[in-house]
Amino acid sequence: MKKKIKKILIGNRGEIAVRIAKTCKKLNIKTVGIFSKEDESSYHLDGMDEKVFLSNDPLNESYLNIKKIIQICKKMNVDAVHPGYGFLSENYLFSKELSKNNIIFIGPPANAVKEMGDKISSKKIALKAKVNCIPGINKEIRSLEEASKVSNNIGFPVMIKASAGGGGKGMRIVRKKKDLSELLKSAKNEAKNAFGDDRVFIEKYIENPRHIEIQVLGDKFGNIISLGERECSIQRRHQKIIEEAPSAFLDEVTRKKMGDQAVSLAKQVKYYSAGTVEFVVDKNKNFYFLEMNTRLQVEHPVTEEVTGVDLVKEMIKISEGNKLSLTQENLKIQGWSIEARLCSEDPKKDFLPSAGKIKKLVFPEKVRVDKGYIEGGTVSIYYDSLIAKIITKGRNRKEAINKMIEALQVMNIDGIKTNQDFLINILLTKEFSLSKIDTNFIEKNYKSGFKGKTGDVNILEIMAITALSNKLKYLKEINNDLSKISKNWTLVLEDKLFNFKLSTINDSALVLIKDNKKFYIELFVDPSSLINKIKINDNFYNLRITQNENLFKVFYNGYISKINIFRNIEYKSYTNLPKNKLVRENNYLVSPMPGKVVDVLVKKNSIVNSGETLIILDAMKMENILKSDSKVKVLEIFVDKGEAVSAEQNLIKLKVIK
Amino acid sequence: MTEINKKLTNLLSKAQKGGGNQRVIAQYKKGKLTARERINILLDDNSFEEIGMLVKSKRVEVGNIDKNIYGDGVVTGYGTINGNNVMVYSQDFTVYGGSLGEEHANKICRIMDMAIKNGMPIIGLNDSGGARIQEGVSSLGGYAEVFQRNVLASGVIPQISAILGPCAGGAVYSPAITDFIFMSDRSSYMFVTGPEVVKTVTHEEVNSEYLGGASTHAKKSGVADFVFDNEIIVLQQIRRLIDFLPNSNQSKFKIKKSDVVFNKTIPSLNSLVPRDKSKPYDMRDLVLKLADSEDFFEVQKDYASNIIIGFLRIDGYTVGLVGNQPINLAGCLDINSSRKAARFVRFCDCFNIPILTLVDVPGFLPGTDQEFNGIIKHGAKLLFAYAEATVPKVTVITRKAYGGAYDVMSSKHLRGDINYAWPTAEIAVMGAEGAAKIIFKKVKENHLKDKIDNYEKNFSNPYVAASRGYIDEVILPSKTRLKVSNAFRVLREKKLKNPWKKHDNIPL
Repeated sequence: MKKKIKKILIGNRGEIAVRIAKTCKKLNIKTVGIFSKEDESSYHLDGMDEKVFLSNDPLNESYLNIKKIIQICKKMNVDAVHPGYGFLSENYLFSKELSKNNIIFIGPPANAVKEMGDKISSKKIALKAKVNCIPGINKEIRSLEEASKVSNNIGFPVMIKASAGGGGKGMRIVRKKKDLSELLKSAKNEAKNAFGDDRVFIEKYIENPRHIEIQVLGDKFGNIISLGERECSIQRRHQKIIEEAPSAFLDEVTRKKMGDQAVSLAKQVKYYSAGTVEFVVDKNKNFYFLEMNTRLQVEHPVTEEVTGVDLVKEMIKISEGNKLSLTQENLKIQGWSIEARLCSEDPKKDFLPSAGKIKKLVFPEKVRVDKGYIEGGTVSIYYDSLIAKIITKGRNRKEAINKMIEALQVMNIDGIKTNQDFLINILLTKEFSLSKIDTNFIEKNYKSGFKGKTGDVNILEIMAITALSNKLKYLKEINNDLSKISKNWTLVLEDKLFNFKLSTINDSALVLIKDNKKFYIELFVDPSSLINKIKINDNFYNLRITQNENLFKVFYNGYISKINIFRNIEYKSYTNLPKNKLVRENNYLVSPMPGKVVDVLVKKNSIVNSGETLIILDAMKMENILKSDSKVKVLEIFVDKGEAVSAEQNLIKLKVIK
Repeated sequence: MTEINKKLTNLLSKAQKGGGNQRVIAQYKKGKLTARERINILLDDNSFEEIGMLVKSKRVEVGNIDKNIYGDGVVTGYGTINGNNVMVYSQDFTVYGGSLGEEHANKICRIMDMAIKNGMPIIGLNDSGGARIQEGVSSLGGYAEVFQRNVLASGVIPQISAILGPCAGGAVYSPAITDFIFMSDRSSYMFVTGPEVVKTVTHEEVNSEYLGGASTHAKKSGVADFVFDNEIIVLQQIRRLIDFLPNSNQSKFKIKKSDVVFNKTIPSLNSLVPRDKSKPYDMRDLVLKLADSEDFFEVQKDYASNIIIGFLRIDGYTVGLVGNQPINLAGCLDINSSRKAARFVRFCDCFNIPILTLVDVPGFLPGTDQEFNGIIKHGAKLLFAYAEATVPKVTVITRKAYGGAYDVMSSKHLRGDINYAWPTAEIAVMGAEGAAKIIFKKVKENHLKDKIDNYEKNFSNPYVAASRGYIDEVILPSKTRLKVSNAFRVLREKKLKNPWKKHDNIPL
């Protein structure tokens, strides 16, 4: 039965809502956007033909409210709903309700959603479909005896997993038998708190696995094809941040085997629409089924880039009752595509989410950007921290990586903290370029967190030259007598000193000398992004610079350097001044973002060591731990458990103890 | 070298030593530099030409003063800042504690006279123990001679003071008259009477830092226009200020030559004003978007922060900015913000600096505190300043422009040259709710909502004002930079003269 879809309600927000609306526009389908109070000025509404307000409540009464959304569907006369990812995308009750109301759910059949949604039932089906599964027991573990028997059978290390799990909650790795009892208890507790369901199961723990997934697409006539794999091993907090297609690790044989198994699994549940079968792959290319995501994935664009298939379009066509427009045989994977997720978070503070107004946001041109925000938008504490996905394509992996690095370099963002530099830093590692990656990549390569510091003198030199050139550009523009510009400069980069001599400055040339080395410089500062595009002796670089008084913060290739620029005469006097000025007596712990105080772990007058937790703050769907950065005495506490706090609010008054 | 030349070299090197090594080290320990170091940082490399290096105190009425010290505690002369001529004096705390004696004052007066005659800014670096008691009334006379020149120079040349150490008693009045005061944090203070006297007279116990430190004057009194962490930054930032200013009231505008043109639409401004009218937004966000290179030099950043003032450039030309700041006190006008902005508008007018006014003002702050302290006369200062200003005046109303505050903020009626409004502008006597409640006093609560909506629809918009010609154009926020830049371009040669008068009588 075919039904032409003329109007779609997009049951989502952020970049995915924008992405879906784009394809709808192409297909001449009208769109209805929905929004909560928080989102009333959000970018995702810009491209919608009609917009309907949901509720003042940010989540349960809005994007998660099945009844309300169906009411809107009926009122707005929509033919179908595209749920995007997250929210109601994998809620089979939602798709059931829709079909009761004769509204098409653009996605898989409800029973497939239900069966694949549960870890235990999905594993049963996978076994039936002859899909490789991680050794383990596919039923609930009820007692410690049972747990220990199962663990002995499959051999340590084992993994305890919550049946209803997701996002790493209720998961424990058990390396030794003696730890089993305690970890089982805590996994059950966490699962109960997170999902209201304490069922857990046990399986073999795969060391340092890669995360590789297969995109499948099926129609309502039983045709199912694989669109190749995506490698998503770069993850932080169990969430992917860099994905690519294809995977550099797979050989043709493994690729085909994985594809076939994914298709076989999909067939087992009579799947249609787009879906993803996730596998973990060990170092010997053994792969094991992890789970199936019965929706469009965040990282779908990399598949689109290498296959040329518009997945959203296919999903719509399939749900209209059309046959697949392509076959396994005529599907070709061409080139290489990488996606980087730009998130509002602080990688230097354990990826603490960052909310607030985006004061500056200039995206790269010439690459695909699936964005959920534009400059002037506000990142709310209630929703996901994904700002945009940057997607590049190259003829090969190296080209795609290089394009991505440049795209990330020429972006300029202010107002919120983002992982921009962290992404660049990862892409530049030797390990990444050699695809020596696994899901523990970040923990392994950034053991003590991401600092963005480098001791590499060549890199620091580029940063210093750019900062000084930036300063000299200003002086050139303001001076009516170029001979008055100082010739001798001292740059202080934390513990390093760089001395530069200005050899030439005029309308056409800028030449600096450092240690008898000459640097011929051309600097262009983009007037809107304020990116410094600099040519130093025939090499081109893109850097970001912010300036406060004589302190230049320079961002380059994921490194951040604070540079004080002095004329030599200033520097000489600077060394005469005492280094430690009076330290202000009292310090405050301020709230980094709006949120709710979950717990205050200190009392008045307590002495707290550096690194100890002071307050736990719930914001952006995550618990954020605010630690002390030095040994302090607590003088006063201004907030209570459960209290809502605003950004920059004083939480605790502290005194640093030396 | 001949003997006679050698004698000169020796003399000069002796004169440059100031109060000697020990005193210099003591100076450093307090986080302070020497008078000459300060000048060297302030001016372009090797550009300083000293005047009066060999001057000595001629009269010592009381006590012993080492007559062999040259310079009399102050270094004076001229030089350049990024190629612009400036006059400078720098008090030397290592010589007689930088105290002001007759010759010391004479030296300052000499370069002030030169600055006025030759039309260039004067910069005073203050670090002085006060009047030189040993010279008695001569030093008091010296102060007054300086004050007199400060007053005559006011509005003729930019006068800038940096307080880099103590500045107490009579000494405060010279900086007070100048256009801008810089202070270095935690190494300077200024007050009329020090903690000792305060304690004797009022029994109030207070330390110098709290009574008159940089932080106090930046936040509480508004005496300091700029406070920076150390002297080097203070001196660098004075250079930055000079980059914005013309040399005198007779000189051409200051232009920064740039190789790129930044005239484009800025889509994000369309969503700057929140849909919810009661929600604030940061006016500084708009200021930065309008400024070349996002470079905005804010004046009195921490004082009366319900109004923003400062300098920026548009197409390379210096523009003075005044903007209501909705995130503080809803951007209302009160005594402090009126005085702060009024003085700034008058400064810009003195030196032919065009003024850009960004308006989002709900009115004057009500209350006994304001009325008892004379908001009537203080508010009038800002009105007066805008009304008498003859420089190009461009105004953008982003949201509220209510009541008398609408008139004050560079309205058409006060000779605003080009007045723009955003579609979100509400130009009215007051907010819709208040207005409806007065007009429809007898209407019951439940019907009032309709009246409010009605008023909002008919009056809380920019179109009534536009229909009267009070607003020249209602513009898309995204086009603001383009519009403002075009407006200032067409006004560049503006000529307007007020009637002849000896001087005006602003409600001080």
